[in-house]
Amino acid sequence: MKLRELAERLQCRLEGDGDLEILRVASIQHAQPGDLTFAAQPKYDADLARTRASAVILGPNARTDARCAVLRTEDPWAAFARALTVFAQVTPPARGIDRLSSIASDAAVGAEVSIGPFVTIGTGASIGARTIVYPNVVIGPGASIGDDCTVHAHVSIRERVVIGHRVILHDGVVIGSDGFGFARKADGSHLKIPQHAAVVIEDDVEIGANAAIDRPPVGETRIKAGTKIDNLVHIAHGVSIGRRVLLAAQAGIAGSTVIGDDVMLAGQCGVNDHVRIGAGVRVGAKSAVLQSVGDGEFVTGHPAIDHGEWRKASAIFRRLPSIRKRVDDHERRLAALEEQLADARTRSR
Amino acid sequence: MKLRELAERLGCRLEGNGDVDILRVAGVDQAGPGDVTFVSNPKYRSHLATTRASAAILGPASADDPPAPCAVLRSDEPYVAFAHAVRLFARPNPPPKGIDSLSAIAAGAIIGPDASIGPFVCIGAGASVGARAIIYPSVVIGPGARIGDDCILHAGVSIRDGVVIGDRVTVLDGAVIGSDGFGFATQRDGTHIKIPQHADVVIEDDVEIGANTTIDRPAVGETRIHAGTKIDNLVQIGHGVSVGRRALLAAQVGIAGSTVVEDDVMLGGQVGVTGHVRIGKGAMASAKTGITGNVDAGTLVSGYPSLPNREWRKSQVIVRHLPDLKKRVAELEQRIAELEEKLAECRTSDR
Repeated sequence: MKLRELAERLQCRLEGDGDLEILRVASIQHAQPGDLTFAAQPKYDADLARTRASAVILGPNARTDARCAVLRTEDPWAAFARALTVFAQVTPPARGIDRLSSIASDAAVGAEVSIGPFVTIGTGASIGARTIVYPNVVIGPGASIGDDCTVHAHVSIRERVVIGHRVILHDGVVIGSDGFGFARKADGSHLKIPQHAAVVIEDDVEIGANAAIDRPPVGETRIKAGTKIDNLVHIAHGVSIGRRVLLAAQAGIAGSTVIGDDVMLAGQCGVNDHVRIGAGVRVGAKSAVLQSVGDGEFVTGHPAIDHGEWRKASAIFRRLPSIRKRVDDHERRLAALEEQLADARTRSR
Repeated sequence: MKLRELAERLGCRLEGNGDVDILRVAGVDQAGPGDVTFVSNPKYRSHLATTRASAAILGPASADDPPAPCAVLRSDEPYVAFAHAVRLFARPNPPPKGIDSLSAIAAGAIIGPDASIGPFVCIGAGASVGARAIIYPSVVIGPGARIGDDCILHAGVSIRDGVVIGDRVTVLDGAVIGSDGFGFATQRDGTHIKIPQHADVVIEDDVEIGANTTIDRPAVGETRIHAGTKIDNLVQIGHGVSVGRRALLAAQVGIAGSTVVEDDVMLGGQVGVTGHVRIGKGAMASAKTGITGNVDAGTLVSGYPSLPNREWRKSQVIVRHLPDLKKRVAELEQRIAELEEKLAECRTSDR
């Protein structure tokens, strides 16, 4: 594709030779002539100066020593995403229902679906139009999946789970497994509290590989529209996750907690049960959020505190040995002063 | 097997009766007559005195060793000799060779000689599986993926389209290789548009990948695990990460996107590494470390944010004394106030 045409399709301003032929999108370090690359972080300025790419997508104010053409845009990430879509060579699996699948006779399967081999769909379940179900997926009785969803291999969707439109579930995701709820008896044994209530995944949610979303005994577990969840995340029973939330890999959220809209949790975070995380909150990596957090706050640490405070406290942690030494010194100097003063007073009497 | 023969096969020096029959390998506390056991961890040296084993694999003799009540196989690398011994006595039960009739293999897929393909396995168009590979039930191999010779893919593994896996790679149950990296472009209205993740994932020779571990593919470039690296269960490898040769990643480690982990790095359990950093050759991180920047080659780091281990330990020992330290500062403040008061009194009486 000519760079001129690509600029138009990506809604970028072209700086340079519009007649260049672009063949693919590549990373800034690996790009070759014929490649389009992008740089959204100043970290990669040096790579940018050296790149062999034919063109680069850049933000409005980014300066560059690169000798290649530039596609200028307000939002380089979005332009990069669109460029990848333009050049993607992905062949979706064939439409139709594989003969090696097992689909209950009363399950409702929409138009133009693709159901792979060894897929099991339970009684009363429904699958929306154009949804792709990869091999070895199990969809329980009464579960409902919307239109244009992609369900990758080995996903388990348990009975009566409700999934909206355009949802992407990566390999091995489990939705609707039993919440971890037991009543401890006097003899110390744990009596299972049946977990049969609802799980709802709204439109445009994406859930990463081997993530697990539990169902509660009463009420519901809900992931609201546009939220993106990374691999190996655990969402406990009765949790409510707001709209457009980002949960990075290996985060864990305990039961009945409410996460507001536009929250971002970094990797390996843990959130306590029965707390409320306000809208737009950011949580730093590896944090343990033990208490509710107000709208718009940025917290980090274990237990999580204001991010700025945490950074200052972390810097002091390094200096603890010197601080202890200073306290030792001060005690010595003070004792000496006290002695001198006592002497002076004795003499003056 | 006679102990004499075992000693030869393990490359150990025999001390004791070589005619003893050895039937299996067992732990030092559980072993009985007919068993060979081993002690390489000094923690268990004292257990040797009471073992009922017929023979023990031990490291080079040292003065403080208790006398062994059994024959001894001396080795410079007792743990390696133990590994070979376990292999000698293992009775693996490999599944039958051939392609199960309940599998779904695309017409264009290539299956190497003597491979074993279990029931409910799916292999996509243009994919290939090497010679003698064992593919356990319910594994899904996407279109165009390539699996080398002598690989073992345990049940429920997902290998996504186009992923390349070398020879002698073992992937444990439920692992996912080549899932989409977590990459979104957030719009001004707060919505996240997906950045398509279709680039390469390469797993080199002799890698082992633990159960339910996930390895993501990037938008551009590649995610690569170099030869001989071993990865434990429930590990997350982000998109565009490069893990070097012979690295060891313990359970629940997470490595964020585009980070480079060099050769011979060891990460303890639940270590997290931020994106776009470099962990130098031979570096180590103790369990639960949160690595937030580059780590120099050969260093040991701990804590969150991570510090050189010596520095972290010096600060960490003080943490438990913080209440005492706080009390001492309060006392200092009080004594200074008293001192100031007395000094003021002195001055007044001088006038």
